[in-house]
Amino acid sequence: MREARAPLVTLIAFMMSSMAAASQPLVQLRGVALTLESAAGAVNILRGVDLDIGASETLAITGPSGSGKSTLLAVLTGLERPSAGTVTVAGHNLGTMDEDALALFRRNTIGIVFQSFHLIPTMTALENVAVPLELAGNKDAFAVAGASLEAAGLGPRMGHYPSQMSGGEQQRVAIARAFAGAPALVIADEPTGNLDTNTGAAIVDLMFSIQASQHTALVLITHDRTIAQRCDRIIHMQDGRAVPATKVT
Amino acid sequence: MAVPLALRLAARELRGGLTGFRVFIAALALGVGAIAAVGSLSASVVSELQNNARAMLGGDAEVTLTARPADDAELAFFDATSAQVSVVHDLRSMARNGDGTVMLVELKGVDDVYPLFGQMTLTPSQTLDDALAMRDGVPGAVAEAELFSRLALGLGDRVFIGDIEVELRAVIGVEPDRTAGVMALGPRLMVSAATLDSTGLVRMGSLLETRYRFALDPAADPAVWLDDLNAAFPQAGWRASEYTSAQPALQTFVDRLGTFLTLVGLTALVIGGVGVGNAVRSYLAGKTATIATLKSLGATGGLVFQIYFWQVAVLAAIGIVLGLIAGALTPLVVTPLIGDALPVAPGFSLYWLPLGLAAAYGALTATAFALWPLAQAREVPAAGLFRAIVSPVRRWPRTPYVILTAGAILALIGLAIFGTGNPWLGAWFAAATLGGLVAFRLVAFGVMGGLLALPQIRRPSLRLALASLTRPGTATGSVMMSLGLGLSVLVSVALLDANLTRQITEQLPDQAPAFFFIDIQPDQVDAFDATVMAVPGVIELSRLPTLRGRVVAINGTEIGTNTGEHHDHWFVHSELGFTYATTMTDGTVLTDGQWWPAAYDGPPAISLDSSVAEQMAIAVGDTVTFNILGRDIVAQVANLRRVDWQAMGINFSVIFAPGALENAPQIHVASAVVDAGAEDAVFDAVTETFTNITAVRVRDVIERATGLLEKISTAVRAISALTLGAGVLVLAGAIAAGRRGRVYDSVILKVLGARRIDVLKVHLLEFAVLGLITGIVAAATGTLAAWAVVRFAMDGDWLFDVPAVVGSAGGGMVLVVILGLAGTWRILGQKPAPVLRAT
Repeated sequence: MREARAPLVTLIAFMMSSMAAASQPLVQLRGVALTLESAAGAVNILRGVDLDIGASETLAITGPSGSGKSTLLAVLTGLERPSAGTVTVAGHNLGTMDEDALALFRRNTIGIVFQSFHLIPTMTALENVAVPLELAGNKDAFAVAGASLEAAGLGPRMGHYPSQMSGGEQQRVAIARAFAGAPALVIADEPTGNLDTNTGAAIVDLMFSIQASQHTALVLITHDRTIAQRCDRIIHMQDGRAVPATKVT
Repeated sequence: MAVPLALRLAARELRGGLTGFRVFIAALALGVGAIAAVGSLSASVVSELQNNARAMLGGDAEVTLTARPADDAELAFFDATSAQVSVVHDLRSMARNGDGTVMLVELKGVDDVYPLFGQMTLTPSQTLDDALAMRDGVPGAVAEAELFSRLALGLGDRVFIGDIEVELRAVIGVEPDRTAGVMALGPRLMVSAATLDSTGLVRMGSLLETRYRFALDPAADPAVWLDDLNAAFPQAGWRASEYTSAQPALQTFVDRLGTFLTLVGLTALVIGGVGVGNAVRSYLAGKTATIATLKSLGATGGLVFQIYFWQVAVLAAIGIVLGLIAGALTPLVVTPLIGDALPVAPGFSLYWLPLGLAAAYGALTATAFALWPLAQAREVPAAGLFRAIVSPVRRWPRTPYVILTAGAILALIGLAIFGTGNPWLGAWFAAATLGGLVAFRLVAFGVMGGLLALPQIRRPSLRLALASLTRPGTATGSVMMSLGLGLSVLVSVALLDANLTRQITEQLPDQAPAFFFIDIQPDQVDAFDATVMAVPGVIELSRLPTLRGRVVAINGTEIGTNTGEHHDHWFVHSELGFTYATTMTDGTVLTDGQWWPAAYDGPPAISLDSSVAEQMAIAVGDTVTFNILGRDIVAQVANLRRVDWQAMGINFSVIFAPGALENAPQIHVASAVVDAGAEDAVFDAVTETFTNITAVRVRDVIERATGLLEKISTAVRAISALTLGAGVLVLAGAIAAGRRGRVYDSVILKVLGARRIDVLKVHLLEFAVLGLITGIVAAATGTLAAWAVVRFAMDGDWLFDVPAVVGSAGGGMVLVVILGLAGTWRILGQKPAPVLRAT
């Protein structure tokens, strides 16, 4: 029954929130905290994060392991609910949305690039890129996906499965998948973490190039200062708090 | 039409191949196949019984008379109301070859028009009339192959029956009115009616059955004809039936055996269901990252559920269809192999009802076991993708899925109860199977808890083996549950089989008779007694006169018009044997009333078996009307006595007081207790001296009874073995699912300095402990179940058979170890470096 009522209600909520989006920053986090219970007691992963990200802005998030970077991305994408605070993305208050609405929000608003690529092994490169478009009901999913892969330089590899591609190629597919639906926001979690330096540089070039052409907001986690410096802004996560970091010009 | 997204994505996911789903498909195919096979086979047998009902009865209708032929009025009615009449005589007799070897035969005398329906098949091919005709002054005979082999005779040889000899001219292939599997004491020997008359075996009082078979006018309703017949001759005392209701007992037997075997097959399916659940869980565990990825791309939980539901549905359909094909083809394959054990040889046809039922069982089992892990899969948290720690969800699914799972289980139970045609048995099975699954799961929890609580074990191989059995995510619980339940069924069946066989063979009284002799004529009794007693080794000879007749009324109320609760009791339905006696025999225990005085000279009185009296609500002082040789005798119940039928002596439910029966035509029956070494001598002495007396060896009867039991128990064991097969599939699936973990463990052990033999020891100990615990628990539960059935359902004495338990449970344990080692053997040769590079 939950599934049956979801589409209509979710669509209305989604449209209403979309109308309010124009006048706000694309992403607005206020007092976001996340505390998880564990056997050793409560663990404060995020401790009151306030953050605004504008449309078309690029933001790098740095910080040591366990500082809350990945959790912050999970909260931004609606995959993790904060214990406190509000998260608004493209006018959607994620705290008021149920799981299905969040799924709908992700498929229309967000693209994600993971460190481990996370392509679906049983699907070709083309199918992998088409999946979010198909989920969004795009009738030209495969045409759009094909163009996206061409743009990523993978035209000849469209029919290949992930296991038949190198790490760099897989990450290109993941980038094409993230940008294919022209989302307002792309999240990238250490996109070069599993790649060698040269490949990583090429991947970053590709990502920034597509971002620039689509005017997409890009938030990426990186330990690489050079990549971070290419972003408009850098924040540093420390013990669950976001601290603005100085950008070397 | 656009294919729905869930189906498109499911189809892409299925490209990954069926790895991990082989057990899923095999478990469903095995269970569904077993149910479909049993259903198809029993439906084909029942259908064959119905299709050949006329031929099997021998006519549209049949009237059986014992000890007397039909009288003129009856014959006139037969001729006037039917298109054709055939007369067949049946009796048991002795056949002797030229060397003096004698055996008991089922002798049949037939007329020219036999068989009215169906075809007699003879080898070499010839007509029955030709085979039975007189040639050179010697009448012909045909016989079943057993007679030829037992008497070492060939075609053209002669055999003595009664006062004459006949020439064996053909081997009987098909005798249309003889139902195989029905208890017969010897092979068929068939002669013409005229030949039978000349044997001297047909005398007044002989245990001869005369069967009148009728071909009716095609427009006539046999049931109506039968009603008219009984109305015309209410006191005839015959057994009459028509073809549409002639085989109900056999059909009921086939139905019941089919129901029982279906339920055993269902147990195999449910056990396989554990494997189905494990396979789905294991498959989805491997898909966790994909599920998380789909959710991160915007797939709803509902869509994720649908994607994997369709995959499981397609694979379940493959398993079910494979099972249905195997089941539907079973009659085709099995009939030539076990045709002798079936009451009829069925033809091949598709029986949609049992196939549909088997498919429904399969679909419900797949739903009941697969829905839970499928519903859990939709809850996989995608946030884990950011931390590279995506793990399967173990918490309870959402309420609708729990309700759906419960609904599937209830539907399965409902189908078991109401779909098998025997609600009581179905309910019993459902309770036992569910109880067994729950009990084994609890035992598995207990055992794993116990193993975890053990103090630190110093021996590393044993410590590692036990750690494998108890680590998080281990399949120990489900393997113990499924394999244990399968083994329990096998132990139960073995014990029930042993109990039934022992009840027949070992619970005979110490002084059981070695022989029963029938058809002793009154003028032979003195010579007979003298002949038997003259043989050294004869311990006791009992002989009683006997007559046959039927109960026609109780307290003046005619049977048949009495629609009370007892009207279908054998006491009023069957032909009974009576005797008469002046004094009580030793050991008689009266429960009510008084035995008559030795010089009793009053109206007819009887002594009645107290258990019959209780079942029929007959008390001392009541009257029972008997029809004996066409004459009604109203007798008052003088006393009730307890009869110990297990003592196996000659006894009768009804004993008449002196005065009523002495002058009626009668024969004598006798039993003899003899030393084992004297049996052949007694047999030879009687059969050589008295050609008309039939000697029945008790040992032969027991051998035939156990032989019949053996055929049934073979079928039960074969189906029951499938439950173990299902358990083995679950084990195989668990080994396959845990392979990656085992490879990693063995590589780490090797890196730490373990040799192959050390890794082998760990695996050996792990499976030995698993097999041992499972075997012990299965032996206990199987024994408990068999004890309950013997004690309460069969009301018998319990005998614990050690070989049956050790053979079943021990065999299962060995199987676990062998299968476990076979499944992990290749791991031993795994080189560490590639595995370490890959992780």
